[in-house]
Amino acid sequence: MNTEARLLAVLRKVNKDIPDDPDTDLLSAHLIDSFDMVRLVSDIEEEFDIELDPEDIVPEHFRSVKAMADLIVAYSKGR
Amino acid sequence: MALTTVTDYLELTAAKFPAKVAFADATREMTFSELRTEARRVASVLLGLGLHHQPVAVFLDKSAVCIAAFLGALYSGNFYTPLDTAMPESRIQKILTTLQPAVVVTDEAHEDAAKAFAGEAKVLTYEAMMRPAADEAAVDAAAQQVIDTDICYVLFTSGSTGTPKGVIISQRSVLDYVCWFADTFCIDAQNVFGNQAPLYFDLSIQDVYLPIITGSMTQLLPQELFSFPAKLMKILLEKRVNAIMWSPSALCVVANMKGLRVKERPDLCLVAFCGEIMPVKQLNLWRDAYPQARFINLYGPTEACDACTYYVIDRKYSITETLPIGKPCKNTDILLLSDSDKKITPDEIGRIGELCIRGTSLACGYYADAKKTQAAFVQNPLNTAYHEIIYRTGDLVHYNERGELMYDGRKDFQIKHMGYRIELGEIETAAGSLAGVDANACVYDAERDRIHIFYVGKTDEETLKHGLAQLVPHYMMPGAIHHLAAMPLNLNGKIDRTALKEQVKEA
Repeated sequence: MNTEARLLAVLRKVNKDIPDDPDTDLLSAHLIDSFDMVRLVSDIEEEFDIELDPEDIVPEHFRSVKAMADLIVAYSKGR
Repeated sequence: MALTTVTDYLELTAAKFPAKVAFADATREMTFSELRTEARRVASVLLGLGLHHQPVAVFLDKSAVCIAAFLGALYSGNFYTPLDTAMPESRIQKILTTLQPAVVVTDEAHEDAAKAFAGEAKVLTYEAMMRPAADEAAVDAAAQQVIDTDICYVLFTSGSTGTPKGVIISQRSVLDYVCWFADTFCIDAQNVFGNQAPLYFDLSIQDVYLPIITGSMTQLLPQELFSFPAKLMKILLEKRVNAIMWSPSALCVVANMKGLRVKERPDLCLVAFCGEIMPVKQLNLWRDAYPQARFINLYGPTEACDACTYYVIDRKYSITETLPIGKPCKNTDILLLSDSDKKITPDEIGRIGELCIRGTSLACGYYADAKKTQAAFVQNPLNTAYHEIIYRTGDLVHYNERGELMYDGRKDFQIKHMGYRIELGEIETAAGSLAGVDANACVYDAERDRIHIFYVGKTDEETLKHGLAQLVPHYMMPGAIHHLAAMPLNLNGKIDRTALKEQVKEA
């Protein structure tokens, strides 16, 4: 499974309504809120075996599936 | 001359610090002088409509303008109820049915939405209210007639029959609590508070009233920021926020998402929390990050104006310990009553009783609901000589060996979830109103802070979730939905909640 598909599975555990479209703005559509974010960060770290810097947990990196996938890929490469 | 009303304080503070910012949000910084001017314009329009001692519903985003609208209601001798722009319409309808306001104050951006639910109430926009100059003499005359037992606001909390209860708080209750807060924690014009709580939640009361009383400032923070602690902390630093009073859930989000490990953090001297139990694990992360700050655990129901007991954290706690709720705030008396309404004294260490409150902070009851008022606001059973009302919180507490109050839990089905007080019955009533839901029951898993809903009927989980989201606020949404073939019943033919709780535990 590629990063995006694995990420979608993680996201849908938090909210089943996350759409397939990787460019949908999940934040302005209120598909992710602050309580989801706590779980999402720890689920992503576990699934991809990475540790996100707090400075990277910003809206720009979590706005869409694509933005999150890019962040995960950058972390995976940096190891 | 003694100051007895909120606007007495605003007049004084606006004269003292006219050009200082009182409230700021993402789009506007409002000085004390502007706050006074704009509030008086709102008041002038309300007086022009002949309103006196009437509820003014305020339907605005959390903003400086929203607070000016609140104060406008007070200048005119009326009182306010905040309606959140994110509240489901069905909840707003229920509030309006109870409140029957003559006017709804909104802005141009929300005017259409307000007109859709306002019914008979007149919808006024803030923009239009700002155009005419205030009739200053009329506003002064109205403000001078206000007495300290007049209502300041009515806040709606969750009610078990599905109808929210409107808690009526007087001006003197607000001043009693906020002046106590300012004195006890030495709040002055140097303080900048970062507000987290919505304005319809009484956790925001000190954020709204401390500036008016002390000349401090409050920076209103949008809810979305709490998803991104690094950004939140950076903004707090930029805005020079040095004090916060947040819900434990919000503090935990920041701690759990490593917000305390970022380099750019505000210099906080006061971290206060109220509304639910603060987990020690996250508290310790905050204390490590801010070793110089004072940490305060406050406790209190909306019916006693935000907080009635407090505990200044003065020792180390291990994660298996729970924090005390401490001792009564000044000018508040706490009674612990046993099942037979006998007083439990601090010597009776560990004995559990119901926490009851006596004092100026008490609400004047529930709006347009004499029956519920009489059930909760009762004659002090320890006093048979004269009329004296206490509020029965339904919270169970005991004294520890240091004489500090310790919280044990709710007497009934009411729960605390994400800082909000929720009657599970309200969610059940809402779910039960949906097509294809034959029976349902909610149980609360306190250990995991999760609401579970169990239901039987034709509808699927997704449809139920969607339907429910239209009826109850986000914080009341169950974290887990269980579709059952049949509802377990006990011997009396009632839903067997114990069995459902077992099922939650096993899950």
